[in-house]
Amino acid sequence: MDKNGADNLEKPLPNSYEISSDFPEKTSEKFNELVELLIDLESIAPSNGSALRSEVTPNDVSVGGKFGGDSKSLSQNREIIARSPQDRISVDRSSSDREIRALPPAVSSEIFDRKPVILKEIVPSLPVENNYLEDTKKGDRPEFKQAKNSQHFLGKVTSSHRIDGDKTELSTLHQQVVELEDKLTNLEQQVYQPTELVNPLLPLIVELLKHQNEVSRDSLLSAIVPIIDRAIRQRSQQDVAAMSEALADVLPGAISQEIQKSPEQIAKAIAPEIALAIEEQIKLDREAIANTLGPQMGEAIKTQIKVEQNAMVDALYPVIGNTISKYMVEMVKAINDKVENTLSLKGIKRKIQAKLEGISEAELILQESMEFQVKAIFLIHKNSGLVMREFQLSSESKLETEMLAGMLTAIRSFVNDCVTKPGEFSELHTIECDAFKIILEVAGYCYLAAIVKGEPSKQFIEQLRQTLSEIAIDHDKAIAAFNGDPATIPDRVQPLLEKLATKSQISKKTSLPVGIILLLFIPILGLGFIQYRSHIARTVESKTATALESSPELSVYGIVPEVRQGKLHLIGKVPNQYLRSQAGKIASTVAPNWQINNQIVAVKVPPDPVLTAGEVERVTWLFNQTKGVAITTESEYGKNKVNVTGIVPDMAIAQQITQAFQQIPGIDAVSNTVQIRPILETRLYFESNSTQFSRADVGSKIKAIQEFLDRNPRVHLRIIGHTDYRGQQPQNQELGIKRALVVKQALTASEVNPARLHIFSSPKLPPGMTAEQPLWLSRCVRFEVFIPQ
Amino acid sequence: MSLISKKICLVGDFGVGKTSLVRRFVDRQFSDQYLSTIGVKISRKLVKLSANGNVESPDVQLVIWDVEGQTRFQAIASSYLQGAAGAIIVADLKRPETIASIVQHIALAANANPQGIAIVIALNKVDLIDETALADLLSLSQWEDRTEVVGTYTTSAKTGNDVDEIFQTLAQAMV
Repeated sequence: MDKNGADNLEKPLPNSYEISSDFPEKTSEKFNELVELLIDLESIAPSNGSALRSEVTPNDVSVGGKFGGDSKSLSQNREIIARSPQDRISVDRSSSDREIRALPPAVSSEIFDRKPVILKEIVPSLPVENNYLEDTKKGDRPEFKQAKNSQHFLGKVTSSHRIDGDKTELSTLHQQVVELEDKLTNLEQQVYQPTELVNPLLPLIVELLKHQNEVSRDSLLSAIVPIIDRAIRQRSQQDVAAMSEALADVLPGAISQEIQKSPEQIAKAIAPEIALAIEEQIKLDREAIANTLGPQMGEAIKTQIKVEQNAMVDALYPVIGNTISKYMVEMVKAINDKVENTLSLKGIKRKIQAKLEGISEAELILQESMEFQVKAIFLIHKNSGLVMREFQLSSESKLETEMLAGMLTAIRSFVNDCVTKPGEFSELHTIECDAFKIILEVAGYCYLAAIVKGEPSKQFIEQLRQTLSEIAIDHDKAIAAFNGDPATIPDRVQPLLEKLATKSQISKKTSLPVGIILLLFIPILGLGFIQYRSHIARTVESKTATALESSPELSVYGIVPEVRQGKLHLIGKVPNQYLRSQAGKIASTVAPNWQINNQIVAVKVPPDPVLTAGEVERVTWLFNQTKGVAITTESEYGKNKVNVTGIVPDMAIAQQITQAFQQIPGIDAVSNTVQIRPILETRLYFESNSTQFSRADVGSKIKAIQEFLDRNPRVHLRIIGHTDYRGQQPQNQELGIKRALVVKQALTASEVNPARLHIFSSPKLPPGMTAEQPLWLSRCVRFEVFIPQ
Repeated sequence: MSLISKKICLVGDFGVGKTSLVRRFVDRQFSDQYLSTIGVKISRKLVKLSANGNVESPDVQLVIWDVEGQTRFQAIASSYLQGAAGAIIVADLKRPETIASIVQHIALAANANPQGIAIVIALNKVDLIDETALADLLSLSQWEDRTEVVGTYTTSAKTGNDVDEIFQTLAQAMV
């Protein structure tokens, strides 16, 4: 065997790493190679032992690290080789680098030394073997064919070197070939059961990968990338930890290679997981994500704005829009407040100021709403842009004076050079930046730059110009000769700048010329005073009106309180004096410090209700003194009305009564329901000492009385019995009662309600009778009409 | 006593390394990226003057105007150069035409400042050429007769070679 042999052996082997579908073929191939190796050794042997020695060194057949079979098949291979003549050839797989040495040095040296002898011993047996092989050949598989060919070759070789030998050795060899056949069959079976081959291989793969990873990562990658998925799956089922450990080093490389090869696929594969991964990481450590992404966000946003500005505007509008609208709301509120107090002292002042300055009032309101402040003032050398003098508000962080001045100068130059047409000359006056403004005023060799916040007033700009011209005229030489040393600029410039900056800060009022202020001050004061007084007056008026309206008795009369000449006038009409004075009382409670002029007209002054009531009572009593008059009165204050009920003797008295009550002050209406009292003059006469009245009277007089009572249903009768003056008083009294009773009975018999009849006895002579008149005139029963209460 | 400031301008063709020189001088940084200056970039730096023996050494604040480079289409705006006490005219040693235009720039700076101006020539990117070539390039100089020029240096903003020196020399000449 020579170096070519070793090369041939090595060549197909690298593929044996691959645990792929063609693995069985590979394994059989390898087996065949081993057989060939065996044959080669034998074929070479008889030619020249020394030549072989010089050509073959044991290391030439090494298969370092390239063997891919599993340990089982490996041991079988070794066994096969070991069973070749004299057990002289063995395979060593114990060395750490997995080299398989076909001929370990010790063994090979023995072969080399004794080769001719050994071969002599082997060769005689071969003819028989050849025959046997021909008998036993079977199967059409390529590997079998290969094996058969080899055996055929072996037969040929042996036949060409036929040497006589004894039969026992031949039979041994024969036996070995039978065993070889068995192994081959066994191996074939295994080849068709890949798992049995694969499983024992797995640990080895891990080791191999590690080793190869250290030696040559790239070749490993190129080999492993196409089958990495299956290998990983298989191995990870077995031993996850070892797999992870082994793969950890290669993975980044493998992934980057894959990314280079097909970035889109990698992106597709990873994309759905990225969101989840970020979410998970945020849960674990929020800041880490922020720190990682933070710096990139700015760039990303910038790029996005460049690429798709409108989309960004849409996205940001809800946030920025709100901020702006919040600011606008505050601004509008401020303006609103200013507009609302238009008539206040401040409002009037603003109106006058607007007229004086020749700008709109709205502009002034805007100025007031946006707080005006001078942040800094610089006196800058026009050509060099160097700062000659400056004044900055100490509270603020100092501006980068030189840079700012330089830049302003450059901008000025730029505008003059590029914006203006050649031959013309124009100046930059303001640079606006949100709430800030830079006001530029140029004169001579210098210019003033004022950085202000808010809206500068016209006076301020006027003042700025005035200050600048003062400086430019007074110090033009120093300024023209300015060489970068501020000390060459007279110190008198500094206070001018300070004055300009601070004066505008305090108030714009003082920036008005003093004379105008004084002239303005008086009318403003007067107007203000009037305004103030008017304001107070309005307050008192409205307060009084409210109080009057909330008083129930006065609310309907619409009394108007009015302040005139320092007095609170009450104007209106009420029906009476009482309400008038009531209104006066309310007004003086509401405005205790005001002199009240009660000009309310009491259209009708009602009498004191108490007095009216007394008068009604008096008139009633007076009428009741008149004979036949029995009246009662009922009067209501609220209605100013008197109801008169009762009995009067005739119509004339009834009319008198009505007139009399109508004349009482406070009484508007008299309801007179008095009745004219009927008079019953009828008398029934009796014989002396008798209770029997004349029968004739029964039919006529009793009937007449009954009819009278029927006509006047409310009327009751007093039936009064009289006697003549003769006889004893008690008897007369008794006789009188008896006579009245008889009359009553006679009336009751005539169906008169006895409840209307009341009997009395009178010891006196009947009215109109005297002792001189005949006695029978006194023996009578007379009637008095009355209406019970 | 207040600090004296001086305006100086860097003038030269586009891409000769004016901004890089300023950046090296002011920020002590260098970047290979080329960013074209538009308009003017202004920086400032305080320079300590070495004592001349007679009086004390005052500090000078340099207000450095890094003016955009001249291209075929656009001349340098002379108004940027007005009021400058000094100028550094920069050329690129790798581009001989930029050295050729130095004389123009000197004239421009001098005309903008009739009261006088100190000029330093900086032949930049010296790190990119070898010494023999350098000798040939230096022979191109035609500004020996200009009295304004107070020094000529081969500089490198990348290595920092002679960068501080040009500013120092100029500052010294201006005071």
